[in-house]
Amino acid sequence: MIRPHTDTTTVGLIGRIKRRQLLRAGFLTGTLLATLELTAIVVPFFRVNKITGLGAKIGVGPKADILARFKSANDIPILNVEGKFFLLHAPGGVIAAYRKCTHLGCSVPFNDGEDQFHCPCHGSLYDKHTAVVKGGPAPKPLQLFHIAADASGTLTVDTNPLNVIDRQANVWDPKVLEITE
Amino acid sequence: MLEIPAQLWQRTKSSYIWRSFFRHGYPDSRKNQSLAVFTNVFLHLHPVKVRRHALAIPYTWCMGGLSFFLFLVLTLTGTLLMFYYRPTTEWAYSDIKDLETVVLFGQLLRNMHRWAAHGMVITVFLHMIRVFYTGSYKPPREFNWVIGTLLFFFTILLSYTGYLLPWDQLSFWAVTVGYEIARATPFIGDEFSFVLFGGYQLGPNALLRFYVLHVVGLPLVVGFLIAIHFWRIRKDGGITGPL
Repeated sequence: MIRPHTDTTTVGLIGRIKRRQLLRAGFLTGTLLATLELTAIVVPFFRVNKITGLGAKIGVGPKADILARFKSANDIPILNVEGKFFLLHAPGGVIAAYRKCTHLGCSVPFNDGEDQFHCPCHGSLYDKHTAVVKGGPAPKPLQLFHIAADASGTLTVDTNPLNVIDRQANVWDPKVLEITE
Repeated sequence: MLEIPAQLWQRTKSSYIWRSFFRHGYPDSRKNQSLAVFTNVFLHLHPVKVRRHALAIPYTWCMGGLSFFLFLVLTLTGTLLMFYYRPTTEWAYSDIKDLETVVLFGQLLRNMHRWAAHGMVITVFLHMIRVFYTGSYKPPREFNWVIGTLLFFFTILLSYTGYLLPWDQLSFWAVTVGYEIARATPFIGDEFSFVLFGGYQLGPNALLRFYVLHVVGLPLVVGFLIAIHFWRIRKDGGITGPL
C-alpha cells in the first residue's frame, strides 16, 4: 500500500532534508571521495621510486684513477654506458657530458680516428675535451651532469637529465668545472 | 540394424542435458531459425532479420566487421606469442628472433600479428571514412560515433605500445620520439613522461609497462568499448543503410 507523503517535521535542517535525499547525498559523497582517493594514489603508484642507469647517482671511482687513465690513454673520453655519459678531461679538471646529441637526441659516440665526437645521425661534431660544438647542426654543447666528490676523492655523477649544466654559448667556460685537478 | 543408434540418438536429443544446451528444434522453420540466432551468444549480435541493404558490400565495405575480425585475429595470435615472449631488455629481442627462427609456426604467428595490426589501423580508418561519407554519424548514431572515435584512438595506442615490444633499433627510437612528444606537454611534460614511461629514457620499466598495457590494459578497454559499440548499433535501428 502506498501512503501519501505527509510532512510532519519541517523545522530546522533535519526537517527540510528527506531521508532519501540524505542517503543519496551520502552515497554520492562516498563514491566521489573513493574515486578521488584512487585517482590520487594511481599517479604516485606509477611513478617509479628506484631508478637504475640514467637518472641515478653513479659512482665512477677515485679522481686520481680517472686522471691517471686520461694520462695513459691520450685523454680519450671514458664512456659510462648505463649512466649514458662520458667523462672528459677538460682543461683543469673532469666533466661528465650527457651522451645525447643536442641536435635531435641521438647517442653520440666518440670517434677515435677523428679524435672528436661524431654523431652518426646528422654529423654533429663535438670537442674531445670540452664537448663544445666543432661542426654540424648541433645548436649548443653537450649538456653536463653534476659531479660530486667525497672526502676521499671518489667521484659520483648525478645523471638526472632534468638537472644538467645546460651551456648555451658555444665556448669553453671554466666556470662549469666542479672537479678540478 | 540402425534401430539401436537411432534410438540412442532420440534418447540423447530428448535428454535433459541436450535440451539445456539446445533450447529449440532443428532450424528448419521460421520460428526455430529465429530462435537459433536469438538464443546463441555469438549469433545474437546480429538481428534475427536483416534488411536487404545491410548485405550490400558497396555501401558498408564490411569495414567494421573486418576490423572486429582483425581484432579477434590479433587477440588469438597475440595470446600465442605471449607463450614465447619475455618483456625484459635481456630477452625481448632474442625471443622475437627465436620466434622467427626456432618456434614452430612462430614466424607465421608473428607475421600474422604484425600484418593484422597494420590492417586493423587501415580498416578502422576506412570504416571511419565510410561512416563519415554516408552520414552515419547523424542522430541517433552520434553517441556511437563518439565511441567509434575512442576505438580509433585506442587502436592507435595498441599499435604504438606493440611497436616497442621487439626492442630493436626501429622500435626503440620510434618510441623515443613518442617520449619526447610526451615531454612537450605544457607545464607537466617532464613529469608526465617520467611517470608514463617509468624513467628518464626508455628502459626496462618502459618495456614492461608497454607490454602490460598492450596485452591487458588496452585490450580490456577496447573489448568493453566494442561491446558498447555493437549494442548501440542494434539500439539505433540496426546497421545503417541508404535513406
